[in-house]
Amino acid sequence: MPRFGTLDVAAALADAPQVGELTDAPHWELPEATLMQINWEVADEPSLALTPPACHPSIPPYLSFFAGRYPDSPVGPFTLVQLRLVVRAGIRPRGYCLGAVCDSAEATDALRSNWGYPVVQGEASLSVRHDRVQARAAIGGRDVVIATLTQPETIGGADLMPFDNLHLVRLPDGSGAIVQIDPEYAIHSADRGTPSLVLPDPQALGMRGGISLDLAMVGFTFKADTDSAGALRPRSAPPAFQARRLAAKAPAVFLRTGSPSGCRPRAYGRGCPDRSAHRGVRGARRSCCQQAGCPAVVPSRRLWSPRWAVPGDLIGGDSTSIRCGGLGAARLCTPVADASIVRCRKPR
Amino acid sequence: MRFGVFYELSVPRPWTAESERTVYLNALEQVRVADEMGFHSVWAVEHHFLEEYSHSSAPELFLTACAMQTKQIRVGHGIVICVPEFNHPVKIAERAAVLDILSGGRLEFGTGRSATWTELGGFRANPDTTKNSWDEFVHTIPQMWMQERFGYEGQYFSMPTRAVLPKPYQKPHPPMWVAVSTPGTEMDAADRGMGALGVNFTTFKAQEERVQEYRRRIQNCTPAGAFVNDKLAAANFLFCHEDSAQGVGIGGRMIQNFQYLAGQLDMAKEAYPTTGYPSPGLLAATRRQASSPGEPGQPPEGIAIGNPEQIIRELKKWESVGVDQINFLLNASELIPQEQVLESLRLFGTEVMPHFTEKN
Repeated sequence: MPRFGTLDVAAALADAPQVGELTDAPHWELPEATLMQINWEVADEPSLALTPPACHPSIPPYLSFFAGRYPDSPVGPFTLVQLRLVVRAGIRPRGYCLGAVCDSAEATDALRSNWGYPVVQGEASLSVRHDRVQARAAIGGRDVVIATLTQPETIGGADLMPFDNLHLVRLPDGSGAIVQIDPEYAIHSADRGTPSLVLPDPQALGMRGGISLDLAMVGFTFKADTDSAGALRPRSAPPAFQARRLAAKAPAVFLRTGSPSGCRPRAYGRGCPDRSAHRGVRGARRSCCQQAGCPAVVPSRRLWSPRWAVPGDLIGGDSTSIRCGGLGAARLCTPVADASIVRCRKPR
Repeated sequence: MRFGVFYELSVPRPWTAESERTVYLNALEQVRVADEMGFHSVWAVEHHFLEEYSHSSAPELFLTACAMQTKQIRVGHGIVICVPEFNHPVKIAERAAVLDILSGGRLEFGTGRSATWTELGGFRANPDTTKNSWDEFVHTIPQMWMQERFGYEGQYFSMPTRAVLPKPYQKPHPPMWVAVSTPGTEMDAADRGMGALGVNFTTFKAQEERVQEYRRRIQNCTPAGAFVNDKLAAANFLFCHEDSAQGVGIGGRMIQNFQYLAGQLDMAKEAYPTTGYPSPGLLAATRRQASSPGEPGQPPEGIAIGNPEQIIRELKKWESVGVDQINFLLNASELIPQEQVLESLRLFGTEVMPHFTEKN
């Protein structure tokens, strides 16, 4: 049985953002964004203590620093700097956001209340020069992170894989949830380079417990049209393993963002008769409405993972990713009510 | 069609003093039974640092033990990592030659380059250049075997002229293979006259097309070694039981467990943007294939779990698209009790193998 995180979720929830009605989250188009990601291996044990019990640590554990400058958004331009711990949930790595700084009060409020970013307002910048890209964040005039990428070399947009975010949030009913935020990226250009990461005040970005940087992995920047994902939608067909784990160990639950367009279009959207349902939905031309009864949606009962889930087994799997047709579409997961209901048969 | 078994040697937590020894001893017992049943080959991976998923970091030692305890079954590096930070090519050539000698000329020499950040980062290897170093290694190692003395000035290693010893027992050298971990690598194999090991694709139609392309290209290859090995092998799961429901149920749990462990791996592309790994790799394809939607009580298409009739039906499909060999994973995380694994092997050997023409 792979290891799970040991985060004290109840304690962490006290500081977690309070989100409103998840289905009310707006959809933001964020064109012409400049983004930077730096991956950096970290020490094992402290990172395990920051990993939610519903997730596995990555092997090896690593941080994913992520900064974005968004020149155009519904709340005006803003820069967001995040520090994320890479965890495994399903078959893809996810960036569990430890802390973030945003330079816009309006954006900070929206990011916290709509999508659960654990973000505080401060000074944040992302500057692009010929030979380097540098992101800085400060709170109250004190630097908390300086990340630099030097010696950039051009790579293809298909060569990189930005991670989706996971946020620990408090729901209106007082319960907790882990929300997955999965923006889409239309990448215009990308560069890879040598990273450096300075964390004068790691605690300010959620690096509690003495977590320490180990091996620099890689840094890359890219320019892309992206979005805020959209409204959050609970799933009713949980990946069985995670549902069991959630019920047993963690007062947390996965939800997914509402944009359907991440699913592979040919695997998921073909045959949807209700084109009108697509209006106003990002990616609608490539996906289906996902409404109950739509013939284009693969019924969950046809999936293997739930059928084979047996309480007590050392098994798992990300049925959602299978449902969507592959790695590019992995999504999580399930409402609280279903977390205790493992859809399975008894052992023969 | 011929059949082999392959080993990741997964060791589930919690780890005890006996955990790894139990896994290794169980595997050796399975190999002895596979030898008795007439399986063609046993393959062992080389992986490092992949907690639980694979504790097979010294496959040449495991394969030597296999060779010492069996009579006919061939022993396969599946694969040895041809990246200088992992293995010096001279050491690869030497170790492989010793294994070939001790096994009496039963070595199948599989090559590859690793696909996870966990391993590449652990050895501080550059993901951008692993295919280049692999290419250099597979062209030089046969020369080390065939030439009395060998010297070389290359990009990824250089050495003054020395006698690389011992020489393999098989002459001119053992058959060479390439692990196909990303789409397109099977064509690299074809261009170099090497067998393609583990070609698992999403559909039989795609498989058939790639087999045809492999066959076409290998006709005009420039062999990396002294001869062409034009075989295609696919990886699969095996659990054979007289009762279909039990076969599918238990085998399905094994597949789920394998998927689950494989899902913990940080593939190179996930952690490090590079053109060297255009896709997340074979494991992802294997997971998708093994998890494709199916009918209740039926295995996914192409997967060898169920009763003998079901398995024969699926393997005939592989045979029909031109695959020469299927290598089976028999267990994952010791989920299936050893006795059931052995019974599955024996049932497969008596009820399924006779339906395939080539003597294994």
